Amino acid sequence: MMALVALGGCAVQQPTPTKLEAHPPRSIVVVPPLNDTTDVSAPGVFMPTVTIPLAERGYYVFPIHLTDALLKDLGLPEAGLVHQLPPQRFLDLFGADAVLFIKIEDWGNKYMVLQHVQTVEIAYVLRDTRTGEVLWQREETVSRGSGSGGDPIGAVISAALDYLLAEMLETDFGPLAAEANYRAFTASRTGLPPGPRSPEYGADRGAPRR
Amino acid sequence: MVRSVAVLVALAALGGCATQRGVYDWGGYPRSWSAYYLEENTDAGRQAVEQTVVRLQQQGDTARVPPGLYADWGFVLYLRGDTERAVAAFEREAQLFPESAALMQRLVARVRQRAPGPPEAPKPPLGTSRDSKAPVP
Repeated sequence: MMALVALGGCAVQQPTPTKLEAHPPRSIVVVPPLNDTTDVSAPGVFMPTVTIPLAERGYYVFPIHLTDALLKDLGLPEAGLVHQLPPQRFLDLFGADAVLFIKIEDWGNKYMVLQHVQTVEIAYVLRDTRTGEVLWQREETVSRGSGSGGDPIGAVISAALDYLLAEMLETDFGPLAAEANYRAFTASRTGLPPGPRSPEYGADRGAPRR
Repeated sequence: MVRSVAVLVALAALGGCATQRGVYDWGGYPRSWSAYYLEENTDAGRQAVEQTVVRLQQQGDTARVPPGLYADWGFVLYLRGDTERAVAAFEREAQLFPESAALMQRLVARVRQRAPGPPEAPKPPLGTSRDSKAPVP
């Protein structure tokens, strides 16, 4: 098989597997996120949406609230302090193979002419707890706009109204956050590869990345 | 239209009404448990964890128990002051998910060390800097 591939004029060289593909972590601890936005509710709404997409991708995810409670009990009530810990600490504390640091970079309603947009922007950094090295990182932005084509004046009014309503009523950003996580973890080529507990684990090991 | 399809897929990934079967059977417990933990709905979260545990126990070996369910159940039991059942729940998590064993052993040791007491209040929301005065597992 290899010989045939070498003889073929359009043979594709196998890309070197990334560290993540070569040594996927079995377990990931997700620590409280940094919040770069003015919405103090963002972490509380965001965090519950991480577990399911990450676990379904095939990794053991330590329970996020238990993680939070333990870190607070250890005298680390703030995400900022937690993010400064060396990754090896999470191996000591949790026995985790990897630690996922998340930063919420954008979270809110924006009013733009002709469109009211809800947006979340999340930055992810996954580090190996033994070596501290970055295994994976990504930024993901998800927006949901309302604003119609057609009548421009009607569109301006409707976008402005939507924006006001969103500001007055509690907009639930949970679905946007869930979508950001789902997209980030499952993106082909730049997402996380299927982890050890995924039915797809190993299916494409040694094969060219999609 | 594409956006709403993507949202539906994401919501399905949340483990509710699945458009495709996931690896685990979440039963909606993470969302309700989070609501409890963030002090919005005291009883619903505890019940959600318990309901999911009971339902999956009835399924026996075919149950697709999600990671963290028994650990969260142990946490709930500990908060209720039910130390021995909390220990059993942590040990079950370690059995099902050996990746968790190191942490579960630590939790068992901590839970056994502390004198049983009244249930603790839920913890403050994530990402805030309130002092934590109450002991936790």
